[in-house]
Amino acid sequence: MALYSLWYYLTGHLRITVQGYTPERFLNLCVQRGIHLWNIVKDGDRMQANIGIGGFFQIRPVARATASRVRILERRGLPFVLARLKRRKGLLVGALMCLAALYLMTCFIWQVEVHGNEEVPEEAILEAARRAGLYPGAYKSEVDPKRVEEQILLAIRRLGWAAVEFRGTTAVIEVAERVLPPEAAPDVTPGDIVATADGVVTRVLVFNGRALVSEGDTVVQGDVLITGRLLEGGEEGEAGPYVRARGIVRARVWHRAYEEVRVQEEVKLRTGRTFDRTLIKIGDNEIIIRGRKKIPFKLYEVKVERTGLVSWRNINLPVELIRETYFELVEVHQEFTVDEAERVAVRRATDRLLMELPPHARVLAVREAVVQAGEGFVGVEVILEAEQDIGRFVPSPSGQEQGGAGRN
Amino acid sequence: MRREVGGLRKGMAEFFELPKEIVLDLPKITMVGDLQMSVENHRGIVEYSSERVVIAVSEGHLVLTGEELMIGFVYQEEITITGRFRRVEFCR
Repeated sequence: MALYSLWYYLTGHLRITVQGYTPERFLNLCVQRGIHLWNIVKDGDRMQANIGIGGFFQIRPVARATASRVRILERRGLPFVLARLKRRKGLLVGALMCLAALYLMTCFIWQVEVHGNEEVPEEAILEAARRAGLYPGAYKSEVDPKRVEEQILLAIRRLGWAAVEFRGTTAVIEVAERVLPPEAAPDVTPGDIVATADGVVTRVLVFNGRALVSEGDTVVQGDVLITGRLLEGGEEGEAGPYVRARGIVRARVWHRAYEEVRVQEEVKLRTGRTFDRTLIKIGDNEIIIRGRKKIPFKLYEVKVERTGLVSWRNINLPVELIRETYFELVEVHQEFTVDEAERVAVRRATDRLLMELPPHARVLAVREAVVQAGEGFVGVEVILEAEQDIGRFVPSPSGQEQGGAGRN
Repeated sequence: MRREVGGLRKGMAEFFELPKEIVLDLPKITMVGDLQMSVENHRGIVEYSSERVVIAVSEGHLVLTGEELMIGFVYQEEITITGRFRRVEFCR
């Protein structure tokens, strides 16, 4: 039906009224001649009907044969609209002008939007775009997005990427800000380099400041090695330049460690027998799903592995899978000779010292001495001589305000 | 005589499962409630007013009474009437 309506709208149709004595015959004759009528309504002795334009030109003989009078009530459809437009040229011109004006208006940029900036002010980007020719009111085809992008990037160094896109009459500038590396301003807090340990200085390397010690000097922990005060004698209040001391001071340092070993020791050793158990822990309840409840060893060591369920967002389900491995232990009575005990003690003490050495330390010598040997035990002292960095920067307590002045 | 022929034809139509409106030349009438009726295989309009429409069919007339009756379409093969129907009658 909608298709019919559309067809009749496009081809045009008429609403006619037929006045006659035998409207039935009129209808039948029309049907016979293939004149299509629709929406026929009887209105007293008159009859209204719709008829196509083609049909209307064939209706004259039918009307004459049935002695009916046919009058047009209404003209509908596109052909009539067009005919009316033809008569009213001004309307057509107005419509065309309206279209032209609309088109013309879409040739200009009405709005410039900036997206993606966080710290760079929008005005700066808009200003850079304006210089490149992109501003509200600019003629669209004269704006070269590529060039605008380049100009914006050149003008504002904080921007790492820019894209200009037209969305209708709106120009959208999409930018991404460069993440600047933190300002590599050198730390200029004034201060000295101070010894962290006692020792004999072997090397002094000054990058900044003034060395107070030289090779061969003996220093005590806390001694100033390199000072940030550049002028001699400027220690007490005198306003000399005070900078941040930089440098490396290496010294020979002696480390001591004492270790005692009993001649008779009880040592627990793994037998190699193990026992596995798997449990599920829900809340505070543990359910064994594999293995026995009773641990078959008298003496044991246990390794526990816990696997939580996959946590989703911040919700941790109180369910855990616990895998336990038990290692059987035996207690072994160990007996050392005095020599053996001494060796063990030396090894333990040396290991401890080596662990505590700072990085880049170089071991020069290790000396050990039995300092105690009593009933059933040996006490050993190990002295480790190492060359190591002993400088540590200590900011001057009064240097804060001077530090501010030294910043540039 | 006419009855007999009709009977034979009817039997054949039933036997061969042919559409009766074609074999027997009968109108096929489709109604949508009391709002719309379309008659296929009609023989023309005998009488038309907004209260009463008489349509010629093969063996007489189909009389439709109601209110605001309107002929939606008229074709050679089919006629569609809309409105509010009250009664449908066959007159021989």
